[in-house]
Amino acid sequence: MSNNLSFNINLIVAHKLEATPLIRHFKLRALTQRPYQVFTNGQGLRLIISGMGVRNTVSAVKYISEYQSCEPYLKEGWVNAGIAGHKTADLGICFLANKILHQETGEVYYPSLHMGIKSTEMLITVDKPERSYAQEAAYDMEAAGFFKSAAECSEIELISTVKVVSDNESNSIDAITEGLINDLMLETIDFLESVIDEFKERLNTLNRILILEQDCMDLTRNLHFSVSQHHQFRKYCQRYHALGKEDELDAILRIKQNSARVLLHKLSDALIIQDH
Amino acid sequence: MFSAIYIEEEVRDWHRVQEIIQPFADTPKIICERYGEIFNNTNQNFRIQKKAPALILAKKYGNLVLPSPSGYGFEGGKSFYFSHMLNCIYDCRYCFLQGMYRSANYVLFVNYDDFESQIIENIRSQDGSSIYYSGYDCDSLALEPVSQFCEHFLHVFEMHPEAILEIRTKSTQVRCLLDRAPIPNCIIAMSFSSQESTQRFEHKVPAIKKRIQTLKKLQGMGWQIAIRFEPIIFEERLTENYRLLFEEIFHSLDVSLLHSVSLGEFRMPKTYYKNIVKLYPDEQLFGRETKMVEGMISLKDTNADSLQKLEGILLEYVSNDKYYLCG
Repeated sequence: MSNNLSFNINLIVAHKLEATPLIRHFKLRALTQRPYQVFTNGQGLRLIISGMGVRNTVSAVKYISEYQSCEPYLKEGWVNAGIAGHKTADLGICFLANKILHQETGEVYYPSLHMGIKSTEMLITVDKPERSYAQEAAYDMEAAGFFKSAAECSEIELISTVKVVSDNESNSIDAITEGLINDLMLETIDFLESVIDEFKERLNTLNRILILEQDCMDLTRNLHFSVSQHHQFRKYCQRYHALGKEDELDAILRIKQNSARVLLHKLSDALIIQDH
Repeated sequence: MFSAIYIEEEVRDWHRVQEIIQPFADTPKIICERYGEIFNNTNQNFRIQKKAPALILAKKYGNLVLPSPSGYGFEGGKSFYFSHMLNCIYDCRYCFLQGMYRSANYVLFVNYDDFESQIIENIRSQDGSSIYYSGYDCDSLALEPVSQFCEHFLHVFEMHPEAILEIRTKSTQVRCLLDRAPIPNCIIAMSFSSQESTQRFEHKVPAIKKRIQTLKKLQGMGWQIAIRFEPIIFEERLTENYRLLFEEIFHSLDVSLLHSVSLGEFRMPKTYYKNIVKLYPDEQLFGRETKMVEGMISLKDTNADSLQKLEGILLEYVSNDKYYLCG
């Protein structure tokens, strides 16, 4: 069984100014420059600077999901982090998006929330920087695109949006400076660490199962399985693991078999139910 | 208690909804159009959600009272079930709900009055007595402090003694029952598995001893109680384990006053079973050999007659007229 337990968690950030404090904090180093700047800590945490807007975010998610995945069958975590406007909330307030509305299309998404984080807000994704704050909600330009495309890669329990309020009715968007963005993004660190920790746990649970399956398939690469034989083989592997008979399964799989049919017979014969 | 509370727009200003959410000031509240937007999403993981479920407050439409599945329950008239809630706060690895629903979030249908109307209409349309089961898609009492289900529905059946209500539960949340006079047509049916199964497969469920103590209190007050030995999961010392359980239960209660006692083996539709195995492939229970009969998966009994043996032992404690085999 593979011992690689560092699963990918992808941070999607729109602008370099938002990304820089995160790159520094998580000690990320540059991986690629084009078509996107991608950074990594070498242990699964990746940050991609997508560019602003829904279209750019969708492209960035697609890009990073296909990027050098040595284990393409494994699930990954997805986090969109950045600044957002809000009608009334104070600058520096951090939150998870609990509902994302894409203003242009009317599509609505409900991200999974985390027990430890109570600060949540509805987030409206707009196509231009928001200045009128019509609703009592936060506004950004990426989350809807991010969520929709990330949901094509992973379950919603592996997708989160973390934002920090950068402007409101009393503090104009035009007053946002580089220094302010840096300070605001530092406010998101605690949230991000909490989300990343929780994602690591969830990924561990979900990917452990997939790794076991893949390891079994790797050991039988020389055999041809029909669809139903493949299905039966997966069932036997699952039963051996569930019964704690991994060693016996491993021993059977390491012996070269003439055919999938012979292997399945051996697996069936050796599967003795103990302790019911 | 809940990671979030989702509230359908239509019910957000209802008094019952305001009462329910009032103790949860710090829990995120999110307004949605219909509960299905969250509950029926295809891209969610039951196992992960079960660790931190949300509560969804919604209005149920359509047929709120449905005929119960064939073979379910005791005799006493035509039988029906109604589900005021979807999903259970307990986490029993053998439970079919894990395979039936995509989401582990709890849905509480707050339009109790609509349920009440349909139940009454149904009762009146029957020729003779009828039975109503609660607790098919949830544990009826476990969320009582939030739902106040008993507080509302007991009154309905109190007004209609020609109908029987069975409340199926593993919960000890019976304050609502202890604080009022019993009604003779309401049966509290408590589920039990062997100590071994309980320890292996039941999570967050009150201990067997606590459930027995609760039944004793209820019986002492005059409530009708019933015992449901479900699901029977074949294990190495099955008969010994269940004899111990029977001893403990039947020596604590007045057996002559029991409404009924049933046995039911572990079984569920094949599609549900497949879904659950995908969620928990590492669970020892799902490594066992199974058999399929008419689309229902159950465990193979390597002893061939375990259920019959259990029946025999059970009938040493209860009379035949109180016993039935479920399923």
